[in-house]
Amino acid sequence: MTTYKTKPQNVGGPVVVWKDVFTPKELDTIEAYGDSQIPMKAEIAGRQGNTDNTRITRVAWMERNPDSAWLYARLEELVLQLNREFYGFDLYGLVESFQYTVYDGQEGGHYDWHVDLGGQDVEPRKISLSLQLSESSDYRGCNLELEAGKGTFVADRGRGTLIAFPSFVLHRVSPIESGTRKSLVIWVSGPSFR
Amino acid sequence: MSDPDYHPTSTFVLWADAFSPAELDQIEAYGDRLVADEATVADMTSAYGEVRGAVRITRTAWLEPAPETRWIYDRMQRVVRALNDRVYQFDLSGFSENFQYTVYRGDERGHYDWHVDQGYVLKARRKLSISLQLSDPSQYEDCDLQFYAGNKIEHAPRDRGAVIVFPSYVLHRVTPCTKGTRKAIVAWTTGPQFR
Repeated sequence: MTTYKTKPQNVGGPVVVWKDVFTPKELDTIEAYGDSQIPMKAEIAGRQGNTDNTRITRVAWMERNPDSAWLYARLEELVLQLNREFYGFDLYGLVESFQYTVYDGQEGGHYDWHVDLGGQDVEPRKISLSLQLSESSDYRGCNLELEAGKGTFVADRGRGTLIAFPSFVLHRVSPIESGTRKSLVIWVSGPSFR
Repeated sequence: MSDPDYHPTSTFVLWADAFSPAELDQIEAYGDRLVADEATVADMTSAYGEVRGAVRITRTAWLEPAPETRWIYDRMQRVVRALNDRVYQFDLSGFSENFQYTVYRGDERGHYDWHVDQGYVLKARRKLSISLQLSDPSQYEDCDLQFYAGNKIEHAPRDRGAVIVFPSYVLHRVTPCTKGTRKAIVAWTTGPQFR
């Protein structure tokens, strides 16, 4: 078990924030690995044609392999602790590959309001997580915003902060104004909510 | 149930004609007597009050379980159980809250802004929310029950007698009533917290 100096905090609604879960060096490693996978413009499952109004993001898939095994192990540990402490959901685990996402100020990166539950062709998603890989000062705009019915919650931008929420929570990434924001997106699968 | 494409991730599901017109008349008459006696205008201001303004303007009364309302609870229970068995398959324990009779009036611009029914705690116990349309669509304008789960706003059917069931975590609203009056029964099923 890794020991952390910080504790996960329920910051309102069903959103949990955990700061400084990786060291700067570890974050550098994740970022370098993601960049080496050459992120390509993302498509939206089940949608065809131009989806720029909904989403402009470059993504790369970070599959489970010897290079990423340590990261999967760490996230499993983090997710299990979060789930034990806050959610209590039935989970299968980290079935889907991690998504390394890049929002670029030159491209007008953004991702409009959506939920992550998934459709009929993927395992149900139960918990969604976003790991902030960029310093807040690296970019303007591009906030992860969540709407759980009590007004919009703007997620912490600090590098190394992990933001967790049930996959049914409506959220978006607001348009980037300048700079580049990188993040790692993780979905935890499990049997459908019951 | 008419749409075979329902799926556990469906924003809402519909059961049309669960009540006959005569039964709907009966529920409406009963609700109107309650509202005349005890209605309060629920005009809540959110935690972000001055920013969002009045979140809700409706007249509501609680339809308590009683010998003369028993059949309404029983019928609704059967409808929701059947829909839940076919689509959501949530663990439900029943209706632990009373049904709410709600009236949206055009002269008050009755409405209810975007919200979720789960409350804001993690251990929320509302699982499925239910709305029964009591008014014929010709009796009011706007006052649309809408859902938003991304991509586009989805509209609940307006037909009288439509029972609309949706997971309590889904963001929804009722747009301002601009003319006439819309009446509905609102109910929530509870159960063990989602897992």
